[in-house]
Amino acid sequence: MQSLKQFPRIQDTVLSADQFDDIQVFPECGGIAQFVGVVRNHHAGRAVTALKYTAYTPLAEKMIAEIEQEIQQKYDVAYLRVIHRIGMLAIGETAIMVIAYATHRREAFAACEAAVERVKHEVTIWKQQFYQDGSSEYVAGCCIAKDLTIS
Amino acid sequence: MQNITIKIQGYGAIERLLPADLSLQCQMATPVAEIIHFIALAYPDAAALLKCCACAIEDNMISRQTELSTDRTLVLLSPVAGG
Repeated sequence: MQSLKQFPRIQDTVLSADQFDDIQVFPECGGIAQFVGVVRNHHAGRAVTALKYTAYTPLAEKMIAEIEQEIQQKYDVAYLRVIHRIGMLAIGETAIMVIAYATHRREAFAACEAAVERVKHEVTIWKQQFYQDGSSEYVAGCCIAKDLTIS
Repeated sequence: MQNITIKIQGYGAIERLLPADLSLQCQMATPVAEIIHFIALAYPDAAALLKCCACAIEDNMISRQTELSTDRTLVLLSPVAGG
């Protein structure tokens, strides 16, 4: 098999699916699932004007690579890749792209959804909402601390 | 016992509650839990969120039992929300 494309999983420029390897590299695959998450203009009933994503990149890159590997094995998919945008994003801009190639559609869909869920809940990325009234706040997220005892 | 310097770097919501240039001196082999406890006392507004923060050194998550013995940057990771 030819060597696969290398690219950072955390990126500060417009995301493009061109970075992914082509399905033709995996002739055994008959299904492609893709998820594209974009910035929407509302949250909890409030008008949103923009989002800012930040990441602790050294760990986020490592975590996404591990998630890709684990999901590929768990769902038996030939190819799974995730890229996540950081920086200030306007409404309609792409925040995350996930792609899965599998022999059949069910595995591709399942792997794609599982990857989105895990990245949202486990990877060191944060989302700050900017509202129309000029205020901003970090979106309440998932605690990833394994031990929470403070002595 | 020799002192070490620990620089604190916060990500996510905790970043708003701590100074950007926070660092502290402590003795060698100080557990991370003790450092976080000290920060919580110094910055009470951050105390509740500190309880939910994970910790990292470079690209490794570390437990709060980890003892720090050299000058390091301790990264505080607020609850995450990507996607």
